[in-house]
Amino acid sequence: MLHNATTPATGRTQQQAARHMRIALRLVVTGIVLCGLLAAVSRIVQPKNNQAEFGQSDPEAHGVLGEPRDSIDVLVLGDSESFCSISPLQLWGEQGITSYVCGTSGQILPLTRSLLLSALSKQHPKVVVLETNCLFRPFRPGFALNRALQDKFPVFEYHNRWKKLRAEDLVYSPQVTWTHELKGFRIKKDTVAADPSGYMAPTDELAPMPRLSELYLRSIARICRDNGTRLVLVSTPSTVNWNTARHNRTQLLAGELGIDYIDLNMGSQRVEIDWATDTCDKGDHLNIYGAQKVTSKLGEILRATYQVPSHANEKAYASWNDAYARYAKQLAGT
Amino acid sequence: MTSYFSLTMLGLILPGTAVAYQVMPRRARWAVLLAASYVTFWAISGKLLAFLLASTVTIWLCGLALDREIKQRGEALRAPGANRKAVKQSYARRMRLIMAAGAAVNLGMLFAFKYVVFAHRLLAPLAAPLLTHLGIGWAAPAAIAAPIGISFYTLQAVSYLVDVYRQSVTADRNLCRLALFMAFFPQIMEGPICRYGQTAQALWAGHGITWENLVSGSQRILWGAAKKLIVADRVNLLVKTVFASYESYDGGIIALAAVLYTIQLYCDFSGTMDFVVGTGRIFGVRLPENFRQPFFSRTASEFWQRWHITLGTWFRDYVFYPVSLSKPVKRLTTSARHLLGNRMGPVAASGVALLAVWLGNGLWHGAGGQYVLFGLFWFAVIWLGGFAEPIAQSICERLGIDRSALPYRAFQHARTLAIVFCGELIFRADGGWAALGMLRRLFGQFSLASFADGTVLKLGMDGADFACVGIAIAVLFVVGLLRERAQHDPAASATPAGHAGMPAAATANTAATRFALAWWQNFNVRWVLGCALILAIVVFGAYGTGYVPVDPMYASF
Repeated sequence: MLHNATTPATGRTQQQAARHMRIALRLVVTGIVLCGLLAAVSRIVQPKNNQAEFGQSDPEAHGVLGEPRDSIDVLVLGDSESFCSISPLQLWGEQGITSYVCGTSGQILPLTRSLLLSALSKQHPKVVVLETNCLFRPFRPGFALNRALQDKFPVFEYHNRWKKLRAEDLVYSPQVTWTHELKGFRIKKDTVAADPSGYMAPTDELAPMPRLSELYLRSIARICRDNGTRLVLVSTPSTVNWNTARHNRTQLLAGELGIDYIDLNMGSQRVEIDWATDTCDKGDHLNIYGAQKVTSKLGEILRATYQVPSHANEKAYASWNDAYARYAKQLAGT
Repeated sequence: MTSYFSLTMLGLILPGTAVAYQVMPRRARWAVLLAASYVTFWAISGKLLAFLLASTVTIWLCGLALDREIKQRGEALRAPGANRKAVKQSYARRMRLIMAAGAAVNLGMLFAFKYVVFAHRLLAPLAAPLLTHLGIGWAAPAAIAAPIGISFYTLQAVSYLVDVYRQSVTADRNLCRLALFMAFFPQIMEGPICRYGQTAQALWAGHGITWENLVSGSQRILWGAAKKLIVADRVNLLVKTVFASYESYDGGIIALAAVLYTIQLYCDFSGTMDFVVGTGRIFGVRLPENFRQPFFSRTASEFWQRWHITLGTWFRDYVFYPVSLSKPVKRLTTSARHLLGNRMGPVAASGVALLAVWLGNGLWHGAGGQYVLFGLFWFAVIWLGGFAEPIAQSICERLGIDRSALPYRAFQHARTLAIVFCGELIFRADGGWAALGMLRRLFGQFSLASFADGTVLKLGMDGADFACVGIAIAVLFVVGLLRERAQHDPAASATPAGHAGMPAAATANTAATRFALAWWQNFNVRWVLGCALILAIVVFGAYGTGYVPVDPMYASF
């Protein structure tokens, strides 16, 4: 009898262990059920195609998903500097390079990372160009957490679509059939001159970069490495947003991470921007004339340094010629 | 991080603090709470943290000084041959001086941050010519950002000093404990305004986080998030549009905006209080409630006993009673009794204390004409209500109206709601003149044309938004009704369910309520409802694209 008896202390310990087990089980079940519910609701509210009419956020950037699989060799990411400065169809016309700009206004690095992962699910670009202005945009940890949630459960991004839900939303799976006619580029035709005095004046100063941005850049570099893609940091001209201190900071970080860095404002890679004619808003962004200069230079670098191939005469890429013809027609109107 | 319902708070600060708190040995847990509190304060107000520290140190020093006086007085009174009256008077004077000095330092900081510009604006017409004549410059002071929650922690500081002075609490020799009482992070932005005796020891105790507290605290936070994100932030779209340019709208739209603003304020403030009380619960601290179904009130006085309760009780204990019991007001009451009789006399004399309370209440909310008007409005409603009550009673008796019958109670509820909506309209208006302008349009140009022609759906909220808010309010009403029905049983609030905001089933007085409450107390039911609530917040919450995050409304007062 004594052999089978348990002391009160042992009994309490066993009871506590059972209670803890029950609590852990409840937490796990709650977590699984909640994730399942969020995934189910996400599927319902998610836009059913990657167009604005379907409720897609940043449709121009998501247009890359509408391109044929593995057809894009250069992927451009960044804020408005990217989509105002780099024209994929000009790159096609001049170099036969296929590229797409996944730039969004005020893009911060959690979104950059998210767009990169999304694009890599369908494309295997040889080069990823990251326009560097977004490295200096501060963001709160909560935003990064929010972005992570939105990536896992799109309902956090598209929940407001509950107002416009139709019966089809319950049945259809999300499609991605649409692409942007300018491959993410925006044509800015206005000219508002900038004052370039003091622009890129020499200094040894290092501009402060948000610590979180640095962490995200490391993550982006790792993703590119894991996917066999070359990450290149590119600084486009902007008297409002760019300066030597930022250049210094970016160069230092690029060196630490072993990433290539091209500053189109300095040295042999400098693009001759006429700030009286090549900007649409006093030096904040380039207009089409400035973008043409930047794109030509970038195209040369991509071909010469990174050996990005030309698909100019390949039948599979005939649609690019059509798109280029429409683009040229638009430009003729400027 | 400007909201308790931000991901930074819910996803990082709160869980991080809870984990650090739990892994620490019990005697060091206060340090985790204090560190989290100062980090939160710093994240919002930066270097202005110095003013919170200054407040804490001043009341600590004054508390110790008062304690020393109390002890010395005791010794002096025990001394053989002491003139007790003279000793008492002497020490009372010194203690009053210490208490007043501590209160003045704290109220001075509050004044400097919140009222200097307003006072300058008020005094300018009188003082400017005079000073100019005397050759003294009269420059307008610049408005400066105030430390977050200064209005709340200053009242806590003053209450501590007065309580030590009154010897209802003993002065705390432990600066860290007092610091935690002043700065506990969930309370920083919007209170509740706690008394030292209510929370200081519990915060210091370092009780471990239990499963029951974690669940009930989390439920309470979730409920608050639903109120804030589904209702308050959604109706904000229409409210801000109408209040920004009220001249463009008829009285019908202004009435709608006043109703929606009242709902917004309630859901925002009480939702934040749910977060605060729920967080306190997680750490084993029972914080005082600030709301008790205010919209079920039948009179204006009752409304203020149910709305922002800790502010109301603060003004009652530290303004109303001291003023009422002061010698001049006592003399006035006696005179009024002779003049107006035993019933009306005290009501008339209470006007002095009431005016002090309501001017103080109005100005506490902010420096602006609308807040003064708001205070005067409630003073007039409550004071005149005191005169009107016997008259109403007499009329009802003569007409044979049963005041406990449903129709009369419904009339009382409707009347109180109408008064509340008008009061909140004044409160939200962009200045005193705008408040008067809005009231003029409300009563002078009332029309339902904007509802008929669809204008109402173009002010920031569409039909779906109205439907969403309507359903949410219906749910809030049912939950409020259940709470109201079991309100008076103390056993209800003693249960975990009671603390989560729901009463105990056993206390319910109707079969339907009993059934609903028993249902609620079933773990599985609460689990399902909890998951449903999370899903409802995620889908119907007013956040993300198209919505501007709304800072907690009382944080700016």
